[in-house]
Amino acid sequence: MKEDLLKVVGIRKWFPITKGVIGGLFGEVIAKQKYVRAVDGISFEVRKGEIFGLVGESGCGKTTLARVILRLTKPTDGKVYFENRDIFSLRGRKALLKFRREAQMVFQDPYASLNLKLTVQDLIFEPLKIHKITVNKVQDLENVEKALEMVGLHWTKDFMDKRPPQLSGGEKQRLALARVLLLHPKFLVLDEPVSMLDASLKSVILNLLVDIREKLGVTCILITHDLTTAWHMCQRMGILYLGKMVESGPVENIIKSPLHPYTKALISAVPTVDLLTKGYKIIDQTITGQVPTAIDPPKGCRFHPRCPRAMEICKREEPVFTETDENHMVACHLYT
Amino acid sequence: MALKVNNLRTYYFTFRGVVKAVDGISFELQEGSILGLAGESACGKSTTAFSLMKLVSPPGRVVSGEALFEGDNIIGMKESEIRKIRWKKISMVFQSSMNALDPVFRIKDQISEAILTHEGIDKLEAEERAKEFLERVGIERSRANDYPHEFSGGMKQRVMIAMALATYPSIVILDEPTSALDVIVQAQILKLIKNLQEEKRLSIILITHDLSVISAVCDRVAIMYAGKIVENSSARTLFKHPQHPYSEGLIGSFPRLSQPRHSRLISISGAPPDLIDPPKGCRFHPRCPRAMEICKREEPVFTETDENHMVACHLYT
Amino acid sequence: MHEYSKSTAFSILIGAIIVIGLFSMMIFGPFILSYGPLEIGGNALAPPSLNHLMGTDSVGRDVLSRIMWGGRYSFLIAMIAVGMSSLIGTFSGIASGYVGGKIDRLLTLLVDCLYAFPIYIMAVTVAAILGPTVVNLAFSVGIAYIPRYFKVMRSIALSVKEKMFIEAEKCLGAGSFYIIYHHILPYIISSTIVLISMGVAQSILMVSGLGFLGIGIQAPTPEWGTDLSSGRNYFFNGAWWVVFFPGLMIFLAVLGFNLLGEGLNAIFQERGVETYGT
Repeated sequence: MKEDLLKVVGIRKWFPITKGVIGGLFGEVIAKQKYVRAVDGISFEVRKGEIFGLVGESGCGKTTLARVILRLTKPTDGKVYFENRDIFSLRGRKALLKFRREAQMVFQDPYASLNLKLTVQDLIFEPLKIHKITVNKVQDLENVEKALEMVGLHWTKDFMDKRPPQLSGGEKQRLALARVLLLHPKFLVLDEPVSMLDASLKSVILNLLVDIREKLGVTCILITHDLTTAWHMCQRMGILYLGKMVESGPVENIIKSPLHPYTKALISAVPTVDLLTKGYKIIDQTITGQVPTAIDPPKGCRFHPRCPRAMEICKREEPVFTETDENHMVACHLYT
Repeated sequence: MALKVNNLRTYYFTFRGVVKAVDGISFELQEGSILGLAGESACGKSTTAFSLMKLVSPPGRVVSGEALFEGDNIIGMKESEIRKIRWKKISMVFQSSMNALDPVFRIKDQISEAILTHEGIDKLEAEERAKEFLERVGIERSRANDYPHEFSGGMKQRVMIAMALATYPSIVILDEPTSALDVIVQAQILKLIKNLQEEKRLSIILITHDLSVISAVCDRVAIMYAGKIVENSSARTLFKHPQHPYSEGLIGSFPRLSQPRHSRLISISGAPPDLIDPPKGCRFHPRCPRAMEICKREEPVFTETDENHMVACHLYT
Repeated sequence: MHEYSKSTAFSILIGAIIVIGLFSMMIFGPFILSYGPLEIGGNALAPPSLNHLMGTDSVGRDVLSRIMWGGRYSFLIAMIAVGMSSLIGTFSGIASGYVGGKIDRLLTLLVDCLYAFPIYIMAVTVAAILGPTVVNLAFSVGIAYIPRYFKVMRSIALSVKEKMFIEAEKCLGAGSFYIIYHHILPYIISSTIVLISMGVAQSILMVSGLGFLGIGIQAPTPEWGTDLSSGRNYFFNGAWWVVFFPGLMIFLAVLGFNLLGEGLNAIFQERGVETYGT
């Protein structure tokens, strides 16, 4: 049993809906406080060295979950253990900084995640500055060059003086990756790293990520809405719906024998670039409606209003996340 | 044949130089079929659509070419003439157009407006038709009175499709209709598009960079690169036997559920060229894994290799 | 080289000329004068002549000399006031906007109260309580303008802190001070420059206003507003120069700094740099 690098237990993140001045002053007297239940009780583990996929559509809470895992926001409930330490009980700047060196994130939007006013030079040396791990000019330059080479960028005076608006989407994303790699992290969260890139660039960056993982042995969480990306890159994955994890396990098991009706719908909704059949069959199995709001999720199983196999119990009771096969877990009354 | 485009050229005359956004493309749209126009950003696919609808804004303009629709060449028509066609006979759903809905008007009013601008029927009739089309695209009639902010992204996109259909056009151009949407909503929209094609014998041009969307709905595909069409064939043939190296690379860069996992994806090195000064000869040669000497000098001619399969590549001439 | 529109170039050019002219006059002027500002060197109410280029006032003092020396006071007070309000307003605004929460709400409330006060009444009150010395005047003018800086800087800090790259920096491990210094300050520089320029104009106007009302710089110390006020009585007797020249100086100073500020604002906007509060 490989050891767990990360253990997420019962994370809940509820965002209070702001009520304005009067509401804020009088509190609960006017109306019951409403919350957006972005993440509503998720637990899973990530094993050392693997790529774990968090798959779900928009509104499922995957980005919020990532921010909690990286301690960018406090959870309403639950704990996160990184190498068996509770990251929310870390005290002091030194401990926090150490965590930040070991756990990092590549953001989804390369156009928004870099300060447009700084040059590439400033941006690439920043991690060294922030963590005070500069050695001397020569050594730093070497490290920076190595990081840039690793992501496929080249050190030239011209390039160093550019600012993000002058870089392409792919170059920006690579720069963001290089900055993070300079810290030699053990753990990387990749939030939809290729969803905003062109098709041919997607494959380049995905290949790059595979290389990096092989060379550096970094453990990763890959957040994506695209099942085919998860299929390609991840060993295990978790399917998220409306703030809950509905199924998790080895990627092959889930794709070949999906259990939860939502997972099945996701798989059947993927239009594949592969035409042994005409492809209509794929579309016919979709479910109707759209993801409901996270403010007032359906009672019982959250998926029941759209579920083609909903039963009476689904409307009343929330299913518990249980193990069906080896490592294959699902939250559905069909299997309990 | 619903539409026949011959040698269309649209250039943008900017300070830095002339951007040859669309540089001599030709294709046919069969009646009642869905043609996919595929390519990455800046390959010219959206510009093609704008050119057909006389929506190219300065500093761009259509330089040459013709587009035959119902016997007439719609390129070069006067504004007054094309207005009779635009949205009446050929309509378009723009990229992210769901953001184009006016937040202060009700949905039914916005659709009615589209109808009333082109037909002289009375307001009630237009509203009725608006509700009818909303139903057609899978939205309950009762929601016609809502405002755009009460609709989700997928629903708004469907409203735009309803708006494009409400005037009973014969051709609909969809520019990235699902790129901002989740995969399940995307499947619902694609299903809708397919149904509409079957029910109403609509001829559709579907513009997208996402080959998986193309594979799901399109009958024929034209792959564009740097302002030119490099391959044009039936969808099935393209995905089974792509001929142009770019098509191969593009298809290969999409991971598939049927592929073995962790195999390396095919990636195309380099970046799309600058359209002001594209490479001499075949525009793809700097990135082509199978480039030959002749590719650097001569532009390949668009020729038919198999039945209804056309490629512009020296490997096949 | 960036091409700017005609009106921008015009504003900047004229504004700069006026401002530089005024500064030179204030700094170097007194050295080339023949008469001192308090010196009674001629007949009372003598019209402009070669001897007294701007004439003399009711007591016989050289108006030109009083203008130049008066300018020094106006500018001095304006500079201190602008310096004070911009420093306090900027730092508290950025900190309040960035930190947010209860502190932000409290500070905003306080500043809003200050802002709601009509600035002249406040300045008058403070000046009346503390007494019309240079420092006190600078203080009362300065207090009146803190809210402007606070609000603008706070809104910039609020909008920048929401940007995704700030979260990316936090994720890298950057602390609050690092982020404010390296990532938020670059965004406020342009707005600060514009606000300061406009602020000097407003301060000069206010100082003159206070002087005009009689609670600013007191006679016999020269000051444009005070002189303007005391010259009023003699205006209708034909001694136009006693009122005209102080008025002209106030006008030029305010015009010059405003043009400069607006020109800078337009330059920043044409370059695509965001500015607020103008």
